[in-house]
Amino acid sequence: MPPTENRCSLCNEPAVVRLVEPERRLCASHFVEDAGARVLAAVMRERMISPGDRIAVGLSGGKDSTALLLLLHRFLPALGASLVAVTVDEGIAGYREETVAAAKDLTDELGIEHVIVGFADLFGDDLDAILVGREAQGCTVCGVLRRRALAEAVKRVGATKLATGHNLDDEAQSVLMNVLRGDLPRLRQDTSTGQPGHFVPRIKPLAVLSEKEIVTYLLLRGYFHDLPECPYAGTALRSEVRTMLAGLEHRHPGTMVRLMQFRDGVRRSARSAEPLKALSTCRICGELTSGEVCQVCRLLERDGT
Amino acid sequence: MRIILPDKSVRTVSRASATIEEILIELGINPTTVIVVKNGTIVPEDVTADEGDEIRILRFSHGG
Repeated sequence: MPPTENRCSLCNEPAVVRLVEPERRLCASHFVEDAGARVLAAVMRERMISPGDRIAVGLSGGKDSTALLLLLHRFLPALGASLVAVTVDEGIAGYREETVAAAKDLTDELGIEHVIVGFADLFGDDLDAILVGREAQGCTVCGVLRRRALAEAVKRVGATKLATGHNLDDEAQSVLMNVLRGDLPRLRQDTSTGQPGHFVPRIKPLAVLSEKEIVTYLLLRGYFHDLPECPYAGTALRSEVRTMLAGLEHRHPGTMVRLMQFRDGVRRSARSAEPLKALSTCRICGELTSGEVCQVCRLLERDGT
Repeated sequence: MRIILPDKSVRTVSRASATIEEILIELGINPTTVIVVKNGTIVPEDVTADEGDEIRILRFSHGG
């Protein structure tokens, strides 16, 4: 193979990345610009933010939400919207202290209002205590409770939308997991419109960037910190799907983007067909649920089971 | 060449010029899951590494 001339397609400086569709090489400063421009283009194309919006950014303090906050902090004034960061402290010893501190440092540096809500305050116990005896269900239990905690934080700060740091890898993995589980309702579920009185619309501006691009962006901007991994991380299926998709993406570049196009196509064609199952309110806490008692109340055994 | 693996262990390899991608695959690492820093600069995986180069492989932990 002849040596590759690794120069930026725009300025001839040494390139740090090679991207496809369109094929291009970019130096550090042009990659930072390109990544930001792609996120802004997605925000505009999908009308994620309107003038007057108060956007709550779900800031875990990890890499994705850090990149999201940095980018929205840059764009929002021009879009006529304001920003507030919300952090959920689940109460995971040996892990959360460091990421919550990273979230505080970032919001202090950027001068962004920051609100922290804790599981102990909302649910009476922290995650470690809630999971005693069912540690293997960690991600499932935490996912349900964290969604509720974020919804509560959004209400407290009076935000009109919630922005989360889901990246292309997360989203493509979820599509494939829903296909493998045969879960069409979940595949169709679109949270970008919200439920008046219950959930504000959720937006995912980073879904156009891969995890690798986000880490590259943070490294180049000096914001990448090697933080600990959650001790409960990795459900069996997501972990398998992640490995499988990474292999496919390497051998067939563009696989993850095509999975997202497939999901969008399913949503468009299914919208006109069968309506989604109607939601009711939980008889215990009054939040939306597809059954009589919501998942949060069931997990916390508030229904007496 | 000197290779710093994601777990920070160091491996010194004596080999002819190869692309970063070839080196990663020999190490059993999927290039889409890591970022490679050659002599202190991030590089795409089709860049060549030679004797005397330092290659640092960063695996980004998931979640966050």
